[in-house]
Formats: sequence, C-alpha cells, structure tokens
Amino acid sequence: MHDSVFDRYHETQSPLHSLDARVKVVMAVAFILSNSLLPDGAWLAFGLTWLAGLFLNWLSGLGVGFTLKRSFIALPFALAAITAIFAIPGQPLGEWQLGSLTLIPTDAGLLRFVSIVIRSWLSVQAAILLVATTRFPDLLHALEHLHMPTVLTTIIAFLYRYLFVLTDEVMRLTRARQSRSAAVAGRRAGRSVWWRARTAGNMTGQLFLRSYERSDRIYNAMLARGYTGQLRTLTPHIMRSRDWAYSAAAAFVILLLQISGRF
Amino acid sequence: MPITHQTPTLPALDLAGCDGDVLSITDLHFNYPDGHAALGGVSLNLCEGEKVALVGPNGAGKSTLMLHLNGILAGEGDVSIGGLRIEPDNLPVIRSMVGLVFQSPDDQLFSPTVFEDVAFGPLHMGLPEDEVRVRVDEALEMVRMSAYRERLSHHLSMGEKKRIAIATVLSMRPQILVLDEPSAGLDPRARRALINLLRDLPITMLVSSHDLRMVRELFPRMVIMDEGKIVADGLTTELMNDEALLEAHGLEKP
Amino acid sequence: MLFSPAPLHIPNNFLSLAVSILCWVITASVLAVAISKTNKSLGERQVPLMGIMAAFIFAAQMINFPVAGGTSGHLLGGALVAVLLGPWAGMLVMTAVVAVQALLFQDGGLVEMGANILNMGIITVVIGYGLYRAVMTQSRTAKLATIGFAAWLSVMASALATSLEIWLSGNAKLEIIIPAMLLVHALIGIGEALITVAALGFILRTRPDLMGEKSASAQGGRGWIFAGVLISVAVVLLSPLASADPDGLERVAIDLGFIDTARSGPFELLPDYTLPILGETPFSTIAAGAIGMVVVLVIAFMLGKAVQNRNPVNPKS
Repeated sequence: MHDSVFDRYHETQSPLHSLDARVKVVMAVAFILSNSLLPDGAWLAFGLTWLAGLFLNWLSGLGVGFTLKRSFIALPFALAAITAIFAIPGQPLGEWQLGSLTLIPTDAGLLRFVSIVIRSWLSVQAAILLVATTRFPDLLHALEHLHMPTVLTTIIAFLYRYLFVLTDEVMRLTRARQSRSAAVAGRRAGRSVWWRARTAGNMTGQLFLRSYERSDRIYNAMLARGYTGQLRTLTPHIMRSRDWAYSAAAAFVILLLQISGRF
Repeated sequence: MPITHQTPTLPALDLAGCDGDVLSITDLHFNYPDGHAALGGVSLNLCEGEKVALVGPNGAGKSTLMLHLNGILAGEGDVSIGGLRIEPDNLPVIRSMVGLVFQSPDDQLFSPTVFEDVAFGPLHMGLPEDEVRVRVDEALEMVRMSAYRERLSHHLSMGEKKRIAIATVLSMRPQILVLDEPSAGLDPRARRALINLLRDLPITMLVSSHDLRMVRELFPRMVIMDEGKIVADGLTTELMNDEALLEAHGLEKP
Repeated sequence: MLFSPAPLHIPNNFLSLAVSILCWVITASVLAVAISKTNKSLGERQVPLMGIMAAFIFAAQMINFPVAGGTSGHLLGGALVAVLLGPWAGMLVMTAVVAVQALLFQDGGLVEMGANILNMGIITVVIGYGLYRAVMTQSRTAKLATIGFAAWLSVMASALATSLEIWLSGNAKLEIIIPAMLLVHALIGIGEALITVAALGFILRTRPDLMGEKSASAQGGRGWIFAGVLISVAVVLLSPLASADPDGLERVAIDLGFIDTARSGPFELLPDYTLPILGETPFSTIAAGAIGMVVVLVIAFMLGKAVQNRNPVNPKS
C-alpha cells in the first residue's frame, strides 16, 4: 500500500536500466549543468534538449511521456523564480507600486524567468528518470564510487530502509490524534495554537525516543551479524564497453546542445 | 481424570428488534488507492449494550472497517453512529461518540504523562478544566489504573499501556468502543486483567481479535469477516461449534 | 508527493553555476570536518543511530498542527537534531535528509544541493547548537526558551541565506526577495520554535539522560557558542542592512564578479524595517532588527515558562 510512494524505481528491461549507475548519475548531472549553461532564450537548444529528454524516456522503456506527467508536480516550485522578472535590467514593461517598492518588470527579466522555468522543468525530468531506472541501493553504490563519503551513503541507506517504518508510525500517530480530536455541540474545539503545537511536539518527541531506542536494537542486530565498526566494502564496478559508448554519446549530445544554444 | 472447563453461560441474546441504534453500517464499499478492494459491501448493526466480536483472517478487512467507524477512511455506503450519519463536516462530533483504540498502544500515547493523554480528548472538546479532571479520574477508574495518573507513559509495560489507551477514549464518554486486537502481545496475567476489564465495562463494544478463547468468554455475538465481506453474523456459541465454517475462514475452534 | 515543510528547497537551475559551486565548496569542507569529528566522538554505534535519526527527521517533517484557516505548522528540524545529537552528527543527518529529498522526490535541485545542505543542514545546526551550548548548564526554562529562539532564528537564517544565494545569482532584487522570504519565514519559524520546544520538553521529561552532560549532545566545545552567536548576530544585522543598502552590497558583488548586471533601479527603504523616531537610516533598521530579536527572545522565555507548566490542568489543585 505504501511502498509505491517511496519506491520511485520502475522495474523493466531497457538499455537505460542496465547502464552502469555511475554513468547515469554523471549523465543526469551533466544534463542539468548543460541546462544551466544554456543562455536565456535559447529556444532551439531548449527544444533540442527536450527532444533529447523524450528520447531518453523512450530508451528507458517506460513510455515517452513518463517524465512529462511527473515533472508537473515540481513546476509550481519553479514559479518562485518570478522574482527574476524584476531583477534584470532591460526594456521596462510597466511599473507597479507595492507599498514603497517600485517593481519594474523588464523584457530581459521576463526572458530570464521563462528560461529558468524551462530549464528547471527539463532538469527535473532527468532527475526523475535517474531514480526510475536505477535501484536505490545501486544509486548509493554509484555515489560511493564517485567519492561520496561512505558514512553519508550508509546514513542514507539506513534512512531509506527505515523511511517507510517511521512514516508509517507518523501516520498512525496522526490517526490516533485524529480519533481523539473530537468536538461537542456548543463548545469551541481544538484549544489554542500553542496546545496543538505542543501535541505535535509531543508526537515528535515520542517518535524520537522510539527511533532512538530502535537504533539500539538495530545496532545489536548488526553486532550479532559480525559488525565491528567497519562499513561494508564495495564490489568493484567495471565499466563495460557499452557504458563507455553511452557516456561518449551523451558527452557528444551535450556538446551539440551547447553549440545550438549559441545561435 | 480429564479436566473439564465450564463454558461460561452468556446472557440470552435478542437479535431481533435491533435496528442499529448505536452503529449502523449499510452496504459499505472501500477500495484502496491502488485499486485493491478492501470492503465489498459490508452491512452491520449494533444496538445499545451489545458486545460483538469481529473475527477473521489477516487481510479480511477488519481494521479497514474499523477505520471507517470514526471517519478516518471514507468509503461508499452509509455509516451512522447513534443515528448520525458520518459526513465530512461532522467528523469531530462523530469522534466524540466513537472510541477507537488501535492495536499498538505506542501509537496512541503521545503525551508525556498518563494524565495528559487521557485528558487529551476532553481537552480538545473544549470542556472546562474541572470537568476534564472528573472525566480523567472516571476513565482511569474504569480501567483500574487510577494509581498511574502521574506516570510517564513511556515507562509503562505493554499491558499497562493498553489499558491507558482504552482510558484515553473512555474519557470522551463515547457511545461505542471499538478495539483492534486488544489482547495481542499480552502475557497471560495482563490478558486476564484486560478480559476482566472488558467484561465489566458497561459500554457497547465492537472488538476484533484472533483470541477466540477470549471471544467465547466475553462476546455473545460474533461476526466473521473474510475478503472484505461479512460471511457470518450470529450467536458465538452457535458459530463456534461450526468447525467447517471456522476452518473455511482461517479460524480454529478454541 | 512532496514532504518539504517550508519553501526553502531551491529547485534546479535557480542559482548561477558560480554560486552553486561556491556553496558546494563550503558545504563539502564543513561536511569533511563533520565526518572526521563524528568518527572520533560517537564510536561505532553512531552510524545506525544517525541513519535512524535521519529517517526520524524526515518522518517528523510530516507531523503538523493546524494554525489557522487551513495553514499548518511544520518542523524543519535542524536545530532540534543539533541539540539531540550534537552539531557534527546533526549536520550529517540533515545532509542525508536533504539529499534523499532531492534524489528521490526531486524536492530541491541536484546541482543546488550544495546550497540546500548549507542552508537547511549546516546553518540551522550551527545556530541551534551554538545557542543551546551557551545555556546547556542552565535551568530547564532557559534551555527551552533559548532553543525556541534558536529554532526560529535558524529558519530565518536559512531564508536569508537562500535569498542571498538567489540574489547573487542575479535572479532577484534584494529589496524584494529578502523582505518576502523573511516575513514568510518569520511566521514559519514560529511553528518551528513551538514544535522544537515541545519536543525537547517531552524528551527532557521522559529521558533527560539523553541530554545530560555525558550525552552526545554535549560533545562540542565552547567554540560553538562563539560560532552560533556570531552567525545569529550576523543574521540580525544583515537582514535589515541588506534591504537598507543593497546598492553597497551589490557593488561589492559586482567587484567580485558575481553579478554581470548593471545598475538597478532606485532603491527605497522599507518602512517596516525602520523606526519612525530614528528616521530612514540604516541604523534605524538595525535597531528595529535588534528590537525584534529581543521581542522574540522574551516570547521564547514566556513559552519556556509555559512548557514548564506542562499540565494545563493541574491535577494537584
């Protein structure tokens, strides 16, 4: 019931799925960086980038429109870039008074705003595809190989493992609170904001203590299986020729996108 | 000499004439977001003073059904408490009428002290402070935990927590008590204390349990659920003797 | 489904590469120190603990309480985890949370992650721990009041840093983004303060040993107080100053080559940030900021006292 929320990985056979996880991470980051480096209003490059994204969708075997639907959830947050409309000097498009502030939207600002939204929207699709085609443990492995400190990846691994357990507890705590959040006719229910905040704080404190004590049990279980403080070793990942081939192709495509952006 | 246990005699049950004055569920359907059908048309009536057990295998939908009784889940069909139909805008009132206690007491005791947890319900309802104090004392007395008033919930045993959890809803003076697996995880002594408690509580209750010995001892009426539907609803003594029926639904005669 | 409690996660491509890289450099350096320090202090038990705590913070960010009219208060958790686990472990925990939010839920950009970790995982921890460390041996009221204030300030500092990063990237005017962000987060910060104080009050009552002298949270030296106070003061001074004299700041930024935009339009001081008596000078905005800080401190003290009266219904009366 819950697993689907945290399981962003979509199982299927595809060239992208079987690609080395490190290559995918680097490709995703390179894709996002490429977007950053494209100038404002580089419509050709944006369009070509979008096509590249569609191609990757197809390559993933998850459907050409896979990331499109999911990317719209992130779109409202990108709209916060609206401040850019007033931040770039250029041809004024009007003048608004907000209290003692004079807001002057400019054409360059509008261009910047639209460009940020487009870039952000393109980039988020790469991020979505990355986790959809890569199992999370493999993703962590890849990050370790890319020199992310083992301590951090281990913490993240534990986070992932216990995420469902703890969020489930939060759901049950919340339901228990709901069940006792009653009202009777003629009386104002819910008391004060501070009282409600205290309840939330109590729930948080409860959750903390149970998590803390749970970590003791986990540590004991690890000890029982021979943990001596050394974190796990990595099986070496070997790059196959197809991994190199995909990397080279990706680098080439990004170069092309950058060139197209200068027109 | 074999030891014979006396089957406790249960009061005679008048099933006719009960029109669901406390709880009335009519043709309730519920699907989970992923499409999995959890309830496939459940209808059930409970009257004042009845004590009814809800049994069935895991995944039968017992917990899901219970979550509909105070509006945490909402399916298609009618659920009415004390004649009041559950609607999205009367949930807080419904919650004052239904005392729902979940299986794990750790999820329900979220205040530092026992007193604060039992006081939560009445406080949220906006009752004046002396009224709240009266209700807390009354609820703790009903579960025989008055001595635990100032204790920190975190340090209590499982059995103690379960009884406090019941007190946390009793303080709202609900019309019906709905308990999900109350005896699960209890040692024999705590279980016996719980059974005695439930026997003496003069309140309408619907209790789900795998503990068929407790069911036979406490509940005159039994409802068997399987795969989202009610497959049997009748006298416990009768249903308990129908071994084929029990076995068909993952139960064993105790 | 997004779990972020506050609009602080900077999305993809919001920051210029220069700013992103600068933030990554700062973040990576600080985290490197954090890793070597936690290796020494907590022992081998620490990794499962930090992992669970990361899951805890993530889950705790989902706990909310209704404030008014459909809005609700949430927890970010930087100050809380700093007090519970100590500063270095706290940073690592928050880093894991921010990373998973970005990776799994696209909540925050991947390239911007350096900035997001800095804002939500490092600055919050430094302020939370630094101020707490100063009152660690004081009374329960002092502790709770201070941590409440620190939690509020940590959210403000996060918002300030986010604003500066976006401004340095050339994507916002200071006098728009700083007031907008700070005003919104002044309110959000109150929710943070309330939950943090209540959670710590609960823990102090139920398991005070977890926050005593021998606990993990007592690991840091007095230098933390200095760091925490310094950053706090910087936040208080910088906020009104930034909107009071953005011209000056911008000149500095241009000199350093961060912004390639030319002069902006005329600046106005915001009336909200001035004291009428002192007139419209930078000094008056600083004074307003300082007074604001004192007011919040007083409120936090009162809250601390209220938490000490934990039973709203005193059973002994």
